[in-house]
Amino acid sequence: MSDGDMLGVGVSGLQAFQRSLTTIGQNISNVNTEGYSRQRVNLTARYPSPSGNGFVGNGVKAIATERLFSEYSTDQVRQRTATASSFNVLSEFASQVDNLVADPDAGLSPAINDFFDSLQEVSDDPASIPARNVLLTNAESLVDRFATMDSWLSNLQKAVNDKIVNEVSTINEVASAIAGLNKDIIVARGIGGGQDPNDLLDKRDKLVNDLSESLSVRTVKADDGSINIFVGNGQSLVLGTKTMKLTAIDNPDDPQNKDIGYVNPVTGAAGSVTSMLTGGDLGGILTFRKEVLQPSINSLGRLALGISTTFNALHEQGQDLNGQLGQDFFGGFTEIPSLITGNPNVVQLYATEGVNNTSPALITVGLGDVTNVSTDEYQLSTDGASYYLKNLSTNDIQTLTVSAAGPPFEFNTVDGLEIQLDSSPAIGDVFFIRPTRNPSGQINVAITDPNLIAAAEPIKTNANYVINRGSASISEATIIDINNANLLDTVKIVYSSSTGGTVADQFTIVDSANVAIPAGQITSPAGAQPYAYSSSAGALIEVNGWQVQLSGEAFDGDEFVVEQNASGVSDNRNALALGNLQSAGTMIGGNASYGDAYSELVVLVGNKTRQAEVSYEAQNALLAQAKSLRDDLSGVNLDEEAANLLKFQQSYAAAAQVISIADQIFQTLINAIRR
Amino acid sequence: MRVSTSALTQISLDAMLKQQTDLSKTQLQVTNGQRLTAPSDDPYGSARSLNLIETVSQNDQYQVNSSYAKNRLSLEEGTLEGVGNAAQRVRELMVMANNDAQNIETRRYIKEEVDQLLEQVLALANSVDSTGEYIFSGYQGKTTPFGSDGLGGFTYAGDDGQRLIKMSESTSVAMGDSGVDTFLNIKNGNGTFQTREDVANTGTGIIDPGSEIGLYVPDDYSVKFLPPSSGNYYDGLEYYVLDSAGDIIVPASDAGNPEATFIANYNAGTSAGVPYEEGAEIQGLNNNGMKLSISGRPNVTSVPPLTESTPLGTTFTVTAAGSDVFAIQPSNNQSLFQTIKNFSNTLVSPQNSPEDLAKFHNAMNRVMVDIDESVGRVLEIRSRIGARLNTVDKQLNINEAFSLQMNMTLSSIQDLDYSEAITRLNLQLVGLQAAQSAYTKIQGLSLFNYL
Repeated sequence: MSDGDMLGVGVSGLQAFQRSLTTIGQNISNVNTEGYSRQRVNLTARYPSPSGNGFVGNGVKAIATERLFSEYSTDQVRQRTATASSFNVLSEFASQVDNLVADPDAGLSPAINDFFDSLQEVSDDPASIPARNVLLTNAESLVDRFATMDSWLSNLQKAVNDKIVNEVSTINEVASAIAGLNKDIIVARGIGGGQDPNDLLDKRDKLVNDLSESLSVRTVKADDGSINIFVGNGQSLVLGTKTMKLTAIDNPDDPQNKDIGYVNPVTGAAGSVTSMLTGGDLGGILTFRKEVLQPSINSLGRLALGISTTFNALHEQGQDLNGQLGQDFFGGFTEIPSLITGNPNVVQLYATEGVNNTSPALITVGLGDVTNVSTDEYQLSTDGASYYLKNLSTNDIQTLTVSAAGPPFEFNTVDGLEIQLDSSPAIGDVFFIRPTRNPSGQINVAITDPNLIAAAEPIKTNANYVINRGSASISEATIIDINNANLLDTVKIVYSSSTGGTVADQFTIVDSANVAIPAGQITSPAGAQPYAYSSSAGALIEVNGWQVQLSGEAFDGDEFVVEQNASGVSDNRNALALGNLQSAGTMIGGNASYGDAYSELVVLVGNKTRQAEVSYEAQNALLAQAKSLRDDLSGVNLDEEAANLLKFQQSYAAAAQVISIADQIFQTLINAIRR
Repeated sequence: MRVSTSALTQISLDAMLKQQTDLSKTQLQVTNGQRLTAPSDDPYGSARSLNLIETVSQNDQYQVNSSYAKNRLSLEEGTLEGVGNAAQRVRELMVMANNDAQNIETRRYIKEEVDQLLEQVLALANSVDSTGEYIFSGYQGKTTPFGSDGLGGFTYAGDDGQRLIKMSESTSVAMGDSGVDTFLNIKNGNGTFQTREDVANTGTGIIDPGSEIGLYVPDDYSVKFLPPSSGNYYDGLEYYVLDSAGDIIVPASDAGNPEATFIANYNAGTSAGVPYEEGAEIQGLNNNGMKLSISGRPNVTSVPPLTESTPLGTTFTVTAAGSDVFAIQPSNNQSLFQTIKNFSNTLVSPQNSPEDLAKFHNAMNRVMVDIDESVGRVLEIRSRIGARLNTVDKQLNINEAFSLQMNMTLSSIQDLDYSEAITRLNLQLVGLQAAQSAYTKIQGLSLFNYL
């Protein structure tokens, strides 16, 4: 406009105020739009024009529509969104496990109690078939509970995998959208002459926030207005207008748990980034899997192994109603020979070879000592000279001691595991040992016939009351070696007097035909028969794998018999011993009973859930604060907009009045010079 | 400080939602009556309550076990009361039968009652409990324990197992006694040693069961007789005592000598036995822990045989084999049934001649002392059962108190304090109402209302 042009000044005012009003209208319309930053038109006075006596203003112009936004608070919101989401997902999933483990109908504790209660009923009346049937029923319930919990947790595993797939897909979509917006923003900036396309920026910020709900990200602003997004340890997700993809891949070394893969755009190398991703739903679900789900599955598995192994070991030392030695009570596991000679067979545990191994070496792992088994998973590797076992939960590495240099290579029992490799592995080969992952789904009851419950003990000791005149007595037999071939042979201990007197001072160990038992079967006392005996010292006798104690004064001719407990249907000694298992320290280094081991799981899950809930509440509060801080600057306040509306309406009216006055002045001038 | 409109709404909304969440949690607690709605509410409390539930459950089972034991023991007690009564009756009959006012006819009637009592005792010994198991069979509960062997003896098909029942973590009690302990493992004689006449005896000597005095030295002793070394055969007898090796114990002067040497000395007149007095204590046995006496007149043979008319001063010799023998041996085990059977058989043994009567009374002495042992054993077992029942009762009470204590602790962890919860519920209701009311009021305020 030309100098001092009132019309022009008025019109500039109109335009500027109209612009402001539009922007106010924009703010009001978007009061409920998520992520919207309020805009403000920045007005500045036009460059004045010089005149003879000073500068004359030229009105106002709008320089920019400013987006009121703070980088810092947006960042805060983004970070806290990621953290809060992560804890939210963690607490949501963890509380599912939490409710399961302590549920009186689905939890394990009541089933264990009922099982042992019914075992006591069998102790009370071992010959009763109904009591035995109740025990079998409760045993079935117990393994059912294990199976139910295992299948429930497996479903959770699948749900986790599904969520990973979904989240990865969402992340990729949002990343694409961000890259698309990046492009749009670059173009818009170009078109707008370097001005920021505010609404697009808001939109992009919102998308980045959405991305943060899925995963923690770091953003770096580029000069051309685009944003670069990095995840994990610096893997780039969005670079300008290009996106890199995360992929949900199967882990061939652990097929039950999905991994997250990433292809490095520069080197082209594909790798797993699972351990590097944190925050957001994805981080939360990964934490859940690592710290709650997998330990729960393994803890249950350890308990299943514990109950099965310790119960079976005692059960096999008993005698059932058919007069046979007890079989396995719990089953469902494969058994392999133990690495320690003389030990009975052991349960085979889950171990795999790495898919990328170059040698054909195969790994076999057996359960050497259930007391010392942990809930962790391991990785075995070698550097050619030594073998190392890495605990995948704590990352501790132990060097294994070779007990038999192979092939096959056998190692000393470590953490309750007996490990062997059938041939020499190559350097770089890895083997995965997951001992407690599967048992809770495998355990079953191996007995269906109540007669097969071994409540009795196979050996009984009797004095020959018809003959005996002395006051000597024999203890109950303790079984030292259940596998001794002559365990159930009848053995007599016959007293005699070397001087022909009445009181006996020696004894012989013979069979039922009075033929001396071979010395090879007699572990104690040592030496040749007859053995000296004094009533003050008594005698400890170990023969054929059992042991008895004799004491008291025996007379010449007194006899004691150790024989198979035939027809011993009312004998409850083994049932009593089995019942004592409920309180015995059978697990976790011998310090915990079954109930204690289960309580450990309950406390673990309970604590994690509680922590997650508390953290979520805290993070949520922080997030609310951050949002509030952001809104402080960027949020639309309707009252403020209403006030501004009034202000600019008035200003507009005033500017319009200026135009009207300018027109009147012009009219006056025209009228003045008209002829 | 600015507050944006949406922030304003959000703050009010968040407050209401929080109130609602808290309220619903309180409602859940009140509905369930439990303070803990999930383990995460109190992880250690949850684990502790699982432990307590396990303990309470075990304790309840112990109560069941205890009443089972109580029933079984009461049954055994009752059965043994019957056995004891029968045995007492047998004893009474023994005393009656031993009286010489009875004769073989009357004793036959007594035998009938005795045989019935034996049947009764056998039946009681083969008692079964409510589940059909024999209570005196040891571990072989489905095997009938006692039977006759067809030859007048008795068989036992059970064993000496004793079943324990668990009444608490640390206490067990035996649920019964085996047939061996109750009926079979009973020492005959006076419990330490038994006395009997030799079956080949021809005299009328009667030996009493004797008693233990001091420390009994276990051995097989024999008391034998000799004619008096001086004077007339009918003036008296002498006796000597041997041990199982055949060496002399009494008289002390010849102690240690083999019997043959002593007899030779006696025949030569250089040794003599101890003068025999009817019914007086046999001398020299106290050191070996025995005190007994013999009455009646044992027979002794000599060469030449001595009769009433043998003149004084006739020389004679005796041999080791020529005398009535009385044996004193350590007690054997003899069952109650065998004792009663022995009595029954004795009642119809020959009772005509004085010698027969002597044998009869010797046998009666034995069965009378044997039945005392049996009765004593039954009483002992009954008192054992009594003690066990006492223990069971005490344990039932202890378990009861323990259960109460555990349940109280459990309740304090798990259960809801209703008054606190309801108060909280009311507070939260008020809070929610206030938040809702505030929200409505604040939302109504806008400058646009005034434009």
